[in-house]
This record gives sequence, C-alpha cells and structure tokens, in this order.
Amino acid sequence: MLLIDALQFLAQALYVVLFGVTLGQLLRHPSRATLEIALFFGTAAAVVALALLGAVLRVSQAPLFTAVSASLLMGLPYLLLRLAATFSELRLIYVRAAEVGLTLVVVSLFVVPPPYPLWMLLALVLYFVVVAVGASLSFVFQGSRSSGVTRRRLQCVAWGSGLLGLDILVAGLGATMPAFVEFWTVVGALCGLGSGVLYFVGFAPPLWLRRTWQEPALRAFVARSAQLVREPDIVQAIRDLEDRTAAAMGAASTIGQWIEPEGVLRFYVRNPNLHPRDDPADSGYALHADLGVFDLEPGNMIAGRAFAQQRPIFSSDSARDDPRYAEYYRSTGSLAAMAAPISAGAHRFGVLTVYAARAPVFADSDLELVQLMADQAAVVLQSRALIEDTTQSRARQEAARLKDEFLASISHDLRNPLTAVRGVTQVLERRIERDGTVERDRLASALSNIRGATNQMASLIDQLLDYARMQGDRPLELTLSSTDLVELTRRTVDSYAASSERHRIQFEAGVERMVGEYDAARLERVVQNLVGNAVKYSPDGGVVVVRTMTERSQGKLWGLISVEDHGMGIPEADVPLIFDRFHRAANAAGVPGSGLGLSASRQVVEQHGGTISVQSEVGRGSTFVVRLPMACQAGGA
Amino acid sequence: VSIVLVVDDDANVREAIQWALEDEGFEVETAADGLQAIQRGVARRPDLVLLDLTLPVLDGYRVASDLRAAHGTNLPILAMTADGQAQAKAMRAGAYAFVRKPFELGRLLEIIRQGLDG
Repeated sequence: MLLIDALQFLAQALYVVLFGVTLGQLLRHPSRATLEIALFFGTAAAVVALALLGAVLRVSQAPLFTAVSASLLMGLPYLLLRLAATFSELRLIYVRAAEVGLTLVVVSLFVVPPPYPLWMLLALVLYFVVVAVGASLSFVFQGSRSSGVTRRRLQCVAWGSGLLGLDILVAGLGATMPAFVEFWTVVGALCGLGSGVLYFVGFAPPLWLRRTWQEPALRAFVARSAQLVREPDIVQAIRDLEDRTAAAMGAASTIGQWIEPEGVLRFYVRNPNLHPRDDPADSGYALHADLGVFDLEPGNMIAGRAFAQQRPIFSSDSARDDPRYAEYYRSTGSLAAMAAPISAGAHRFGVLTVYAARAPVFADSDLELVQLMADQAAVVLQSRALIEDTTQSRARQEAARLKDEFLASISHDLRNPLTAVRGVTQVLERRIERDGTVERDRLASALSNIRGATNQMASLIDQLLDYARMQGDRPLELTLSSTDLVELTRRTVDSYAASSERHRIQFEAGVERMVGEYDAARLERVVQNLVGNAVKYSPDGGVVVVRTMTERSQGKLWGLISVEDHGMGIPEADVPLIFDRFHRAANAAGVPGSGLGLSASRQVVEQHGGTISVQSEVGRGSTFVVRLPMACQAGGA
Repeated sequence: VSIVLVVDDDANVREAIQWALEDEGFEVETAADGLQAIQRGVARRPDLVLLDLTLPVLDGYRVASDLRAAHGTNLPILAMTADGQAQAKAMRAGAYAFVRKPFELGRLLEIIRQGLDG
C-alpha cells in the first residue's frame, strides 16, 4: 500500500510542479500556446487539489464535489487535443466533436447522481481514452514531421498522452473488475507517474536533457560546416548551413548574408512564391523573385533587429511583438522566430534565423543554441572570406603574369619583322651604293618581303591594342557611322588576297549592300581577325570563302558575315571556350597567337548587339559567323 | 667560299639575311626549325652557323650541341636573339658572339668575319 501511495503522491506532485513551471512560462511569454499548456496542467493540478481537499474535508462522496472533480478530469483530454491543434495541423472538426462529447459528459455528470451506473462509467472511459489517444496520435504525427529536439519533445508528449489515456482506461477497468483492485491501482499509478514525467520532459525539458538531445544534431552541424569552408558556391554553402540548422532545431531556418556595399541582408529564397508579392516602397524589404533573393534592411523584422543590435532575439509571437510585419509573419509561417547575428569579432557576416508557424516548438534556451550555430556559421563564412581573398590575390598575380608574358611575347615577336625590314632595306641600299641600281626582280621580292613583315607588325600591334582595351573589361566606346558591311568585308578580303600566295580567298556577296550604324574600324578588325585566323589555321593552304548575306529572324533584319576555311578545325572540347580570353585550342600550340583575337572580336560584335558563333570539325575546317543587327534599309536582293 | 648556315623560323628574316650574305660572296644554307638545322648542318659542314635560339621543333641549344658534336667545338656559332638576356643565352649555347634583333647589317657582317677569321 505504501508503494502505491508513494507512486500516486509522486504523480500528483509532478502535475502540481508542472503547473508551476508552465505558469511561469505563461507569465514570461504569454501566448496562446503557453496559455493552453498552463491551462492543461492547471486543470490537472486542480483535479489533484480537489482530491486532497475532498479527503481532508471528507466530502469526497458528495455528489456535487464528485461531479466537479470528474468534470475537470474529463476536461483533460479535451485540453490536450486543443494543445495538439495548436502544435499541429489538426482538423477543427475533431476539436468540435470533442467539445460536444465533453458537454454531454459534464451534463451527465451533474444530472446523474453517483454512484454512476456502469454504462455511464464505460462511456466516460471511452470518451476519455478516444480523445486522449486522438491527441496522442496527432502529436506522434507532428513529431514524425519534425526533427531534432522538437521531434523528441513531441514524441514525449505523445507517449505521455497515451499513458494518460491508459491511466483512465485502467481506472475504468478497475471499476468493472474490483477483484484485482490493487493491481489496477498500481498500474494506474504507474501510468499517471509515467505520463507526468513524459509531459514534464516534453513541455518543459530540463536544460541538460535538451543539451543531450541537441548534441547529435549539433555534432552533425559542426562536422558538416567544416566541409562547407571549401564549398565553391557561397549560396550552396549558405543553403547547407540553413538545412543543418533546420535539422538541429526541428524548424525552418534561413540565413541572411550581409552585403555591405548595398547595406542589405540578403536571403537566398528557395521558393519566391512563398513570399508576399506586394512589397510597398517603405517596407524595408524587397523581394527580387527573378534573382531568387530577398533583401532586408537592418533594423527591420526580427532578423534585421538581431543583426542591427548584434544580439540574439526570440519572439514567441512575432506578429504581436513586431506588428508592423504581422501580415508578413502570418503569410510566411514565421509567427515564432529566433534570430542570432553571425559575426566574428568586428566582422559582420549576416544573421541566422529559425522560425516556425507555431510558437510552442521553441523554448527560451533554444536561443543559446541558435547563437552557438550562428557563431559556427561565422567561422565558416570568415574562413571562406579569407580563402576568397587569397584566391583573388592569386588570380591577380596570375593575370599580372599573363600580362607580362603577353607583353614580352609581343615585343619579342615585333623584333622579327623589324629585323627583316631593316635587313632588306640595308641590302637594297648597299646594292644601290655598289651598282647604282637594283634589278627589277630583286626589288619586287624585297618589297614583298617588306610588305609581309609590315603585315606581321600590324597584326601584332592590333593584338596589343585589343589587349590594352580588354584590361579591366571596360566596355568599348563605339564610334558609329553609316557603314556598308559588304564594302567593309570586300576591302578586308582584298587586302588579304594579295598577301597570301598559298591561300585563295573567295568573296561572295549575297546582297549588294548591308548598311547600318557600325564602328567601321573595329568591325574591320573583326573581319581581319577571322580571315587572318582562316589563313593561319590552314597551314596547308586552300580556299577561304567569305560570304555576306542578310537574314530575318526575331522580327529583325540581321547582316551576316561568314568566314569558312578548310584548315585544321577546332577540337570539340575547345569550341565552347574558343571566344574566351587567352583560350587557345589544344591543336593550336604550333601556331603563333595570343588567345586574344576572338575574345576581342566577340566583345566588339556583342557591343553592337550582335553575336558571333562557330561550327567546326577537326581536320575539316571551321566556319565563323558574325550576325549584326541592321537597320531595315538593306539594299539589293 | 665560306658556307654560312642561317637558322631562323621567320621566312622574311631568313630571306633578308640570305640576300645580305650572298651579296658579300658567302654561300648560304637556310633552315626554318631546329630539326632542319641539324639535318642540313650535319650533312654538310658549314664554316659558320647564324643561329636563332628560339626555334620550333628543337631549340637552338640542342642545334648548337648537336652540330658541335658532329663537327668539333671549333665550329663558330653566332647566336641571334630577340629578347632580354641575349648574352647569357649566347654563352649557354656556347656561341662566340651574339646579335640582338633588329641588328645593323654592317655590324652583323663584321661579327661574322671575326668568327670566320678566328
């Protein structure tokens, strides 16, 4: 008997203590959830108090007293179901049904005088068990959908509710089978104690237990974050941190990255549709759905405040604490929110937020954990920033090296044609000095040598100009004038046709004129570059075909210049990169070149609003096509 | 008649030097890359090699050492360079002298004569 008394006393004491704890929570964070939790344990404590009072005043058998304390007891599963509805997406109809049941129960308790008939006892037990199990299932379901500490807490509440139902079932069984009354009492007391402990753990877990539960998630978070330092994509790294935080907290998580030059906290939005569309100008935030980012000014919303004040903030009802954005919090399901600044020393990297549509998921002490994870995130982001700095300075060094190399190679290459020109002219001078004249054939070949050398120099100087222009990726200042592309192309082709003996350069004009506003000098260099490449990369000679034609597409008229060679071609892997600066095809190693011509050409063409493309096959040759927008006065046919 | 082997990958440069030397009464052989230079230089011993050190296929240092292996260390080699450390490079190749592009014709001929005399 002593054991049973002790068990019962413990269970009762636990419910009274829990009432005290939850009352404290209610006073510190008044919200619907804390109110309902306190109400549940208040009712449980009242049942305990009434039982004690009844025993002391010896009125336990009084009908009114029995009706009141039984009604309170019967109200417990209903309150539990309401709690379940607060925690999860429980359909309202179940709550309404429980309310109808409770009304019937209470009415019958006051109308039927005790001792109650068996059928009524059975009905009461049935009502209690069904509602308690229903609430329990709802918590189980909600628990299975969450993770981390929240999941464990909800599981405890679910088991506690199950045990509470069992307690009453046992009491009912005890009433119908009085032969084993002691056994039933022990089982009932155990169930009561068990549910009390589980409720305590679920609704108000002590800090050490919370820490124990959090540890695996926190470990996973730290382990993963170490790898994130090397994740090449910053957005991916941030998303991963968010996922890890969400898993550890059992709630949604977002990170706002501090973009200092723009003065905003930038959140990388996964589903822009979840955010309210209309953001008024003075809202303090802006959603750029097309970019998938949400920019928030510091000081606004819970996240912006935590960042501006550099301290963690917890709001169990953000709509109430920050009414300006109440509608936003409601529509995004962030009525409960925690935010902690991600900072390392004086360096501010952003803000970590954890939020849920329902407040009771969080407790005060979770805020410490969020700050801990924010600090870890700061370590990750700071390491990344350092690595990025190093990479950038290395890239600058590499660019400087390429520049030096390029300039050295150009000045080296300029010396050869200069040597030829100087040598040939001095040979001619010496002959004139010696013989008074130079024979016709020698003069002709000397002039051809000089022209070849000067062409070489001109092309090197063009490369130098292209390079100088591309330093710093400055856009070109186009000098537009009315230009005929057909005439421009013909001129370029003619100048090349004379200088190459082994190549035949053929020009086919599809239309008489292709007039538009173009930068003639620059486009001429583009055509020169393409024809020059066609010759250069056809070491065995052959026909180069240059065509001009017009094309109508996308409702616009385009002027096309194509250059087709039958040379070495471009390997498939190099084709997509062939217009990149310094990129040269794998098979171009034996052919002199800077890797700049095509990238400069692309820049010129694109700044005209046009495109440049290539089709190529190794061993069969390449065809480059320049498409330039035209005014609609294409002449000829 | 002295035979001079002119090795340079630039056709215009080869041509200019060839004309200048032929006008002075030399017999001129030419080669456009390192392999050609070794083949021609080994097949027929030149009296002097005018050698550009930056060459395709095989570089000038290789040409110098192969020709010396074939004809002895007293084969005079005159190095031509278009870049900075001309002297150091010429010494590395074992040349008796060097010229930097672009050079004066008179100066080139003077150095060639020194090489042949000496």
